[in-house]
Amino acid sequence: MFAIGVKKNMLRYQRFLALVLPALSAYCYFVLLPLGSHFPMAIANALLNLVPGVGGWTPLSRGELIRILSPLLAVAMLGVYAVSDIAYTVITFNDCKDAAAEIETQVKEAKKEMKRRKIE
Amino acid sequence: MPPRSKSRSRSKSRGSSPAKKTLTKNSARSTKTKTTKTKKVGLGSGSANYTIILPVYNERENLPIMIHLFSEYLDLKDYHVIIVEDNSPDGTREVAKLLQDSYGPDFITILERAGKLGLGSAYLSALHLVKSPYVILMDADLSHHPKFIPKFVQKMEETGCNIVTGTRYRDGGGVAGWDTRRKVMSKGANFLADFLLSPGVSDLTGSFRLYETPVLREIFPKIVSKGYVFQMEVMVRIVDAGYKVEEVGISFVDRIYGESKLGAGEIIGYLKGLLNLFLTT
Repeated sequence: MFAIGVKKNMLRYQRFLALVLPALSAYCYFVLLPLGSHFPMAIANALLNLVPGVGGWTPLSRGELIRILSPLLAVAMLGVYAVSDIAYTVITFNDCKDAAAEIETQVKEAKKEMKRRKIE
Repeated sequence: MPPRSKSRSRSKSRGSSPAKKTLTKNSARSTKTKTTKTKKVGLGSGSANYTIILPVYNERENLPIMIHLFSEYLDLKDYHVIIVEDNSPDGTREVAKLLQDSYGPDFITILERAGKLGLGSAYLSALHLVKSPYVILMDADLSHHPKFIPKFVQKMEETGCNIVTGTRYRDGGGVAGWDTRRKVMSKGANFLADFLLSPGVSDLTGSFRLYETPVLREIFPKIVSKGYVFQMEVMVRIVDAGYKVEEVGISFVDRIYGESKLGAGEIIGYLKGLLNLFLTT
């Protein structure tokens, strides 16, 4: 059927684009296009809506906010995932204190053996 | 005294499982290492099953300890060590020769090079001398402990994989001597590499690995990166070629206190190398 890129596997950045470009196009077509040429203002409005104190020029419902800010939301979700994964790994990181002690003992043993073999 | 572990005699014919590629073609490109100035001393017997390639530079203190630990944990008849010595100013070469005299040229081979020519070329030069079916690569600064080598061998026998890699993040693996900042940086770098490259292993920058020799000969000539990214590129190319990789937890002991190995230049280099791998593999 769609024989694009089946002779060789796709490169990693191509796989990435194959996921991101359709999503981005869908966003542009379904969200930005209906807003017309003043979509930057709409985005700014949505962002200001998020700030508790200020609010935007026009208040927006939650659904509208999510639609307009969906790319930002996706990046933020990725960020939350990254931070929590890193934090979890760092907190549960295995500190091999006995390995450090063991190597120091073995260094001393090895040095004795080296003296015995007359290696310096 | 730690117990000696005798490695079991391996049957050469293991049969190829469908998941592995057949390694029939010798695709290692002939590399122009600077061989006019390299000498090899004491080529050992060809009967060892495992060769450990140990590039050393300024490891005068640590090298004897490494060799002693090999003799403690490994059956020396089954292992061979190739020390690649890059003309260290601290006398590492002399110590290597003394060790070779003491433990025998059947156990230790020394590959002498004119200067610090890089890790990749060290491995490639040593590969020419390898006769055994399996190769172990590891660091010579005592951060990697030889006691894990039998565990690597066991894992390979159990699973029939092509590569065993040591991991600090799984299977009981860990690190001694890292503060929180260092842990965050290490995991952060690992997360980024994992996200971009999805290699299927938990520790991408690890350098303590057991390889089947044909895989090494095929993959290493293709590597263009340097530093941390070198090890990542190796793993990525191995996984892309369809070889099976298994992991064993290791303890990584960082004994280099106070020395900052991670400056801004290194981080930029890492990111550039990572991006290059993302775009080209």
